Amino acid sequence: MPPKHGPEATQFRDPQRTRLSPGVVEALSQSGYVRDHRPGSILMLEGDTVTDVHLVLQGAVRVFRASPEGREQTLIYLHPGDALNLPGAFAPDWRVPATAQAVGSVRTVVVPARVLHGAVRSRPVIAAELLSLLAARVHYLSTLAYDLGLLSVRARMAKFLLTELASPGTTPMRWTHADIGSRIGSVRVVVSRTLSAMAAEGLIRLDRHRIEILDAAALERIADS
Amino acid sequence: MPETALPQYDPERCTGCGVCLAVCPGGVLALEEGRATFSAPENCLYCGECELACPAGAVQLYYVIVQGDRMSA
Repeated sequence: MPPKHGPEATQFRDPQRTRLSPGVVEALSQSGYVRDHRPGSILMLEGDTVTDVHLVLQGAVRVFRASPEGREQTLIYLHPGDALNLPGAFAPDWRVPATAQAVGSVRTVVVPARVLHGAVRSRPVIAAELLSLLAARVHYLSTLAYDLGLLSVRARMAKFLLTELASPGTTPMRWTHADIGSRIGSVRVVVSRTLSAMAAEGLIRLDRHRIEILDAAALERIADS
Repeated sequence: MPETALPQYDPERCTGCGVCLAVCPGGVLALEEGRATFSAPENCLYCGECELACPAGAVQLYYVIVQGDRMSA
C-alpha cells in the first residue's frame, strides 16, 4: 500500500511527479522562445489577460495569491517540466488567477497558445501529457482547498513536512518560516511555534538549518487527523 | 569540517539601521559601508534574533527538511 503522504506518494497525488516529459518539452520549445527571469521577478500577475504558457526549464516558480492586506497564500511551486498558465491557452476570456514569481534564477520557454492548440490537434502524445498535467493540478488544488479549509495548522504542518521531505540524493529546497506559513496557510510566528512543539514531542529535530523528521508514522497520523 | 549554515541575507534590502547588530548574541554582524555583513560567521547560533529584529526583511533563516536518523517505518 503506497503511503498517502511524502515523496513516495503516488504520482497522481504528488504534483511534483507529474511533469511533461523532456521530449514533449523539446517539441513545444521549438515554436517558443527562451526567457531568463531574475530572482524575485514576476512572470505573471494575478488578473493579467495572458494566454502564453511558460514551460519551466530551470529553477522554481512560486505561484501565489495575495489578500488586499498583503498576506500571501502559496498555491504551488513549479519546477522543470511544469507548465505555468496552461489553462490560459485553452479557456476563453482567461484572466491569470494567481501571481507567478521566480524563486532564484529561472529559465522558461514561452509557448504561444496557438502553438499548443496545433500540438493538441496534431500530436496525441502531447495532448495526453498536457491533460495528465492538468488532471494532476486539479487534484492537487482540490486537496489544497481541503487542507486549508478543514485541517488544523498542526495537521497541515505534518502533511507539509512529509510532502517536502527531500528524497535521498536530491538537493533539498530551502524554506524560511514565512515561506512555510505561506505554503500551509498560516503565519511565521505560528509556524515557529508549531515546529517547536513538534520538536518537543520528538516528532522532528530542529538542528540549526535542518528540520529532521524523526517519526514519520506519527506525522502521518497527525496529517490524517 | 562541519557545515555552518548562515541566514539568507539580501544586501539590497538592508537599510544599515544596525538593529541586527544590537540583538545578535554572538556578535556575528558588523556594519560596513552602510550595510550589515556577517563579519564573524563562525559565531552564528542560528537563533533567529536578526530575522525577528530586521525591519526590512533583509535577513531570513532558511531550513531544509531532511530525514532524521530515527525514521519510523
